[in-house]
Amino acid sequence: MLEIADIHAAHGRVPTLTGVSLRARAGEITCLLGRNGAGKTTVMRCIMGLLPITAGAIMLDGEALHTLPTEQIARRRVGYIPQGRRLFAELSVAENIEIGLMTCGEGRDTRDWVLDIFPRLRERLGQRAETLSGGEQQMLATARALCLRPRVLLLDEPTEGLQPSMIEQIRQVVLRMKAEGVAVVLVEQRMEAILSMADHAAFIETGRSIETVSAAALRADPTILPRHLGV
Amino acid sequence: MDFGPHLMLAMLEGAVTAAILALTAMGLSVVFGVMRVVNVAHGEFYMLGAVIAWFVASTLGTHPAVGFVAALVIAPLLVGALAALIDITVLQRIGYDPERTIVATIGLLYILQQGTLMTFGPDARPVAPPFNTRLALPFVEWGENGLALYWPWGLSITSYKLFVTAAAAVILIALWLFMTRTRAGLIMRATQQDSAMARAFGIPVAKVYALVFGLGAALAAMGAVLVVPIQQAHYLMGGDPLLLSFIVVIIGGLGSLPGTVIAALLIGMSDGVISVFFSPTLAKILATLAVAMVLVFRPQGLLGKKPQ
Repeated sequence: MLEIADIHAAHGRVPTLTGVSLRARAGEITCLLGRNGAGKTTVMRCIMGLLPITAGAIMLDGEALHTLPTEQIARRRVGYIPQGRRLFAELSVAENIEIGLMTCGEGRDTRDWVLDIFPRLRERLGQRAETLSGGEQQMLATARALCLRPRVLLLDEPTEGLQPSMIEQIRQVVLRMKAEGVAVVLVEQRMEAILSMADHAAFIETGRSIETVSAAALRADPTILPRHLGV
Repeated sequence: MDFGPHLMLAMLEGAVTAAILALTAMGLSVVFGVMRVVNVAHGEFYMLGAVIAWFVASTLGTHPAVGFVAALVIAPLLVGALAALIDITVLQRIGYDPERTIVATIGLLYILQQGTLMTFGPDARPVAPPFNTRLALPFVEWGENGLALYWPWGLSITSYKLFVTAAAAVILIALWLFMTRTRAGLIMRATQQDSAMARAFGIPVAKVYALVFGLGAALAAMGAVLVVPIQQAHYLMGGDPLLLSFIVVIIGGLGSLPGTVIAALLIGMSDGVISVFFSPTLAKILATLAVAMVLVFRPQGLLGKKPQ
């Protein structure tokens, strides 16, 4: 289980997180929700160690992640699909996948498993990542993270700017990871995706946790989402 | 000598300059490309390579070929290891901040230069080439029976200079294969493109940076070992290669390895030709002017990418 306990962070002297807590259990999808600028991406970056926390703790199955360098966090099988995908644009599809495989020493089995999930990538292995369509780039970003055989999967707005068929494919992959026992933390703006996938929803506002509810409560009370997200 | 043979001789000399320059500038380009570090001390790594080559060759005191081969192995390794150590102890500690890195490498330049002066002395020291046969070269002329070969007086080159050109080409091809066909090269290219994401995928970026800084310095040292039988080792010899390397890297495109090779050929060949027909000073003036023109009309260089 990934447990974030009252973390604080800052960009220089400007505080960006002032008390965020979150639990992501194995085999569950936890949606991290908040308005633009609430600090959702910052939380993801803190989990990955890309932004150091100034207080609080981030624990994975009892081990402190916040004291580890980013590369060691990745090797704990924490897969990260960042906002905007951030592929290695000038590397080929095969090379991007190879980077993912190297993280935890995965081999050909995992490569085949990932390419079976995204067969279109198999046809594009020699192509540079920057020349792929937006949907294919999202597939590659997801595939690269899956190459870690993750225990925790962090997805930061994975459906942003995608067409409906691609969104459905990403949704199916997320549900499959959940079924395989992965703890998923999902930052998502689309309400139907949240309601159809989330087991829990954690709301943050201006860098602070304000409420965590179950999916059942979210569906039963239609006022929760508008109250926190203004939609 | 007629103009044609004279031009050919100038181009052969230019090819030697271009070969050494390509190696030296490639080191600078690799470091900038992967680490975004402007290494002002790069010329001193070149100088150290030459000085260590002299030391190894003169210490061994055997056949020049043995000393040369030993220097070609030992000097890049020592200089590369020193550079990696400097990266770990200095550059990592200042977080690769651009301004502080420039100041730190300027300081390093003087430390290495003056340290060499204090230990090695102010004299230029020769290293014997492993072989140095003078090869007369033919040229063509239009005679009564059509094109015919003839041997103009003075049109010749040494076998060692031909070797330098070939060796530099082999080293550059090996570097290209290393960068494109090996796992370490893939890691370097991934780090070059997005160091934060590289870390998020388990790449130990700090170790990669130390390796790259060492590799860049080792390339400069290799260039110096190749050139030292032609130019002699001297504690002030790092200045010109540094200037020309910056010119090449800016013209080729910062961080672009193919651009660096093309620019090295352009600058090296023009340096050779202009130096033979006019003067070496004019060659440097024109190269500097070329940089100014590139910065005005194509700031990203020949093959560099426009900043997003």
